[in-house]
Amino acid sequence: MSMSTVKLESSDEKIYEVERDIACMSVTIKNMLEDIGDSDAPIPLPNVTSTILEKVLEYCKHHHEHPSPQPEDKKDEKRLDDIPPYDRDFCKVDQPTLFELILAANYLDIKALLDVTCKTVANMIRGKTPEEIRKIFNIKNDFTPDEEEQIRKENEWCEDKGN
Amino acid sequence: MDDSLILHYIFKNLPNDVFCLSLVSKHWNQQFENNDKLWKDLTFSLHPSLSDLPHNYDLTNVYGKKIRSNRLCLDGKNQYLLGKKATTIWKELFQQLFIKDNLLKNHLYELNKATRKMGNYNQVIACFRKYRMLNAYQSLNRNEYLNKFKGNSQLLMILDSVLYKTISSTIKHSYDGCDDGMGRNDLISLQGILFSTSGKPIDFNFKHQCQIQGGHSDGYSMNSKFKLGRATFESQNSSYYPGEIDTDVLDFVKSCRDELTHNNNKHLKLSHVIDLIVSIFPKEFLENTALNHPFCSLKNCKGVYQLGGEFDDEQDEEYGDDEQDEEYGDEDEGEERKSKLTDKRSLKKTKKN
Repeated sequence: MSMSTVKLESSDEKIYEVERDIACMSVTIKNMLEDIGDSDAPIPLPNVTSTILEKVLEYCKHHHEHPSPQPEDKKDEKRLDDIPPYDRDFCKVDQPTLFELILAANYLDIKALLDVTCKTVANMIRGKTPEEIRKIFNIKNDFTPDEEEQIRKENEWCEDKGN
Repeated sequence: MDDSLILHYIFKNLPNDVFCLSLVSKHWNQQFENNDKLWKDLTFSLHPSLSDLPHNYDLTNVYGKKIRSNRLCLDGKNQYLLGKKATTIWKELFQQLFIKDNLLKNHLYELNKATRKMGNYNQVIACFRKYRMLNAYQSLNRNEYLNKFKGNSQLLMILDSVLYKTISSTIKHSYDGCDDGMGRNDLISLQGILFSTSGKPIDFNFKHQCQIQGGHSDGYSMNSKFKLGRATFESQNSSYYPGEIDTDVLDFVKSCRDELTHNNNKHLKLSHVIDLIVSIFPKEFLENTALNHPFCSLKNCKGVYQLGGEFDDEQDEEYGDDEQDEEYGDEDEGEERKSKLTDKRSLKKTKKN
């Protein structure tokens, strides 16, 4: 194996040979590589399925080839609508895939991917009523009317009265 | 699969949707319970400038009881505090910052609601007065100061951290007899806390009283007391004129800068500190446009403010700041700036003469 590539093994035992620089966009993999030193053995990723790993590698490959300028760490306001076009299209997947991507991004420690996937879900929620959110994520309302009233009362301080 | 981690990452992006998120289901509601980490992330998301706090900043130890004893009261009423105090300290901070950010909007909502009801004249007047009073505080209007201080994360952090315990402004008119005519008593009182640049909570306490007697402006008395940490300023019967520097006020501003920066003055210019105090204090003294308040008048001084804060450089030189040259950049540029400063000083001396 050339030292410029590494092998990654998904939870369903599929092996992917990828450029070292691309693999090292994951802090977890980078640390593992540092720990094991020069070795031909594939790096096991027991928390990532092959479908998700392929998506993650696709994301990393794109950003490796098209490095976007480092976003300024803005201290004035957090924005949810600043997702670049490629990332926006990348996140147009079904909900289970999106959630698995969040978990994989967290496990593999790829901050940019974690940010963009979470922002995508947050955008689906922002400004919606509880009922609308339940519909989007197919969640059952398990509050009794009394419990709901109680929660409303406790959280009255953060109710958006303007809407 | 435990989705708490996913929910955490998603929720932390939505500080303005906490009310709706907590009402989706029991499981979603539980994510907010005793979850100090989530409330901390939500606080940073609400006010990103606060993420400038030292990396291992421990709000519980530093803030202690202070934050809980500085809950907002208006006119002596805890009208924004609903139910018990927050269970975690970061939730408490988030709660108070959220309430502060939405204070003006909520009052406007109350005002709109009141105007829709027929025969509600007194309530409309009361709502309007309260709205007008709050609207005079720039620190309660985040969009306004965000725009003004964009790019200065330290000033933003300090303003974002401002929590008022009391805000009170009153005007009382009186009739003092046929010889003295009408009188008027304006009183402004506010207290609260804010962060220094390193996250140390500092108390502030400002009081200003202006009494007009005899039906005309000649018979007036003014009392001002300002306290920010250990910095204090007190004056009686002073007038503040735009364009004139009151050295006592300026000394107070310098002390405030020391408090806010722990004597590391390089971080904040005097003009920044004046901006900051003016933002915390009302923009105008109620309806009394005839009398300037000390910081606004200082803000209008050409030497301090309008020349882009170059007065600060003069001050720094007086203090013998050895590192000043580094700030000038290369030598030629430094010489050019120094020469400009000298020109301005000559100008000031000419004006004084």
